[in-house]
Amino acid sequence: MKPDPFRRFVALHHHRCSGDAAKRLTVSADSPDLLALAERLIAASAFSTVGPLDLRIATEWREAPAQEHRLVACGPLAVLCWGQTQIFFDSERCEVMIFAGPEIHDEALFSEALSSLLQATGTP
Amino acid sequence: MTRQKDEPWRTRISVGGGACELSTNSAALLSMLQETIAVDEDPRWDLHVEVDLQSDSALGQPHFRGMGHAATACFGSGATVLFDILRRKVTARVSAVVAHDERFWRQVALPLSAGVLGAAVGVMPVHSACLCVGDAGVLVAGVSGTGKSTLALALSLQGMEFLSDDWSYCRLTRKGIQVGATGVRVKLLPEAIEHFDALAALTPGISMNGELAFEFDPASIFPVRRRSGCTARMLVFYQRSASGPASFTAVSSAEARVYLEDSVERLPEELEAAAQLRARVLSAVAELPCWRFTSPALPHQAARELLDFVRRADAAFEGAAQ
Repeated sequence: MKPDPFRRFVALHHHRCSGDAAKRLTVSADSPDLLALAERLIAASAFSTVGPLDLRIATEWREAPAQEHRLVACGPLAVLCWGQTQIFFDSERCEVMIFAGPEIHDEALFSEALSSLLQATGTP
Repeated sequence: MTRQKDEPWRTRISVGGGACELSTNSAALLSMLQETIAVDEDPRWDLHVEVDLQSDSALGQPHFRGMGHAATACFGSGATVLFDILRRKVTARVSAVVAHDERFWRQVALPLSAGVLGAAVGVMPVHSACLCVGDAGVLVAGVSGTGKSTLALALSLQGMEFLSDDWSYCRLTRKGIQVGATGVRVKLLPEAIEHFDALAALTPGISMNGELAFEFDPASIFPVRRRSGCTARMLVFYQRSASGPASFTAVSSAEARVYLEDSVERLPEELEAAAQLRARVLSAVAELPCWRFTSPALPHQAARELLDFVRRADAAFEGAAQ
């Protein structure tokens, strides 16, 4: 079934927790592969010091148009749009929500993206 | 329009009957969206617009995504809108070109924001047209493609006041269910020209969902009176039939509620309070006198049939009230 381009919310069925209580990372994804990738990317980024962190990641659909790099902050919530990838970060709730396009595999840029989200939301 | 030194410009505007605190770095944008009538109600949500004065990027095709309490609407390089449904805040980053595009703000951005935040702020978008006789509003629902917009315009030409043709914004007050409009244009497919000659003066364009359609302010083309708000008195489900006489059959509140809940977005678990608020509003709408109107007639005749029924029902209602 072709996804509705106006549908805004997705369900995630794969979950895993790792780390101790203070740095606990909970990952929810729509596939085991993406779950493992997200875990690895977060561990290698500035987010490894933020915790406990709740990360939700879903595969972006191919129909998504590529966006220019753009960061928008709304108080403790910020979004970074980048190609077909969108990363939300809520600093108060310690939540990261990702729609993962092909750009997600560029680890250096992904790490940079997360750092800019921390900065935009004033997260120490 | 107020401003503290080094702070953004601020004003209060009404969107779908709910108050919004608008702040922006653009005095021109604020002036364009400024209400002619002061909005006294406390704001239900905040909208901050950051205009990139150096950017002349145009709007692109819309793209929506959301997870949990966060959602975005991206319109190419011209505009990115971030919705924080939990905190009832919206932030938009737009180009200077988009900042001056009044149609974008009035027809897209403000109604979209009211729709996304609706459940959280208690101003619920209901998938129905709304027409009024005085303050009494009739919500006309029906599945997409039924002809709600065509019927709404035909009803307006029969003398009902026009509030909306597709989405109506309902909120609970001491006076009952208040319905508000966002001033969105009527959207009709090109074949509607068969029923409304005046459409020949317009050129259809590509609408937001990619359809070729006429989009217009009905009061600027037709002798139609617009209304910005009313009290909901009746809910009508419109169905076109292939043949047979027009009929009106009572619809239970349970059935009405199923329709209303099916037409709204599923909410994630962190928005439980918003889901409960929405359920209260939708329950109240479903408790309105509710009828299924089935007719094979063309729009103007169907409008006469429905208007006649509404007048008789309204007279009965008034009689019962006395």
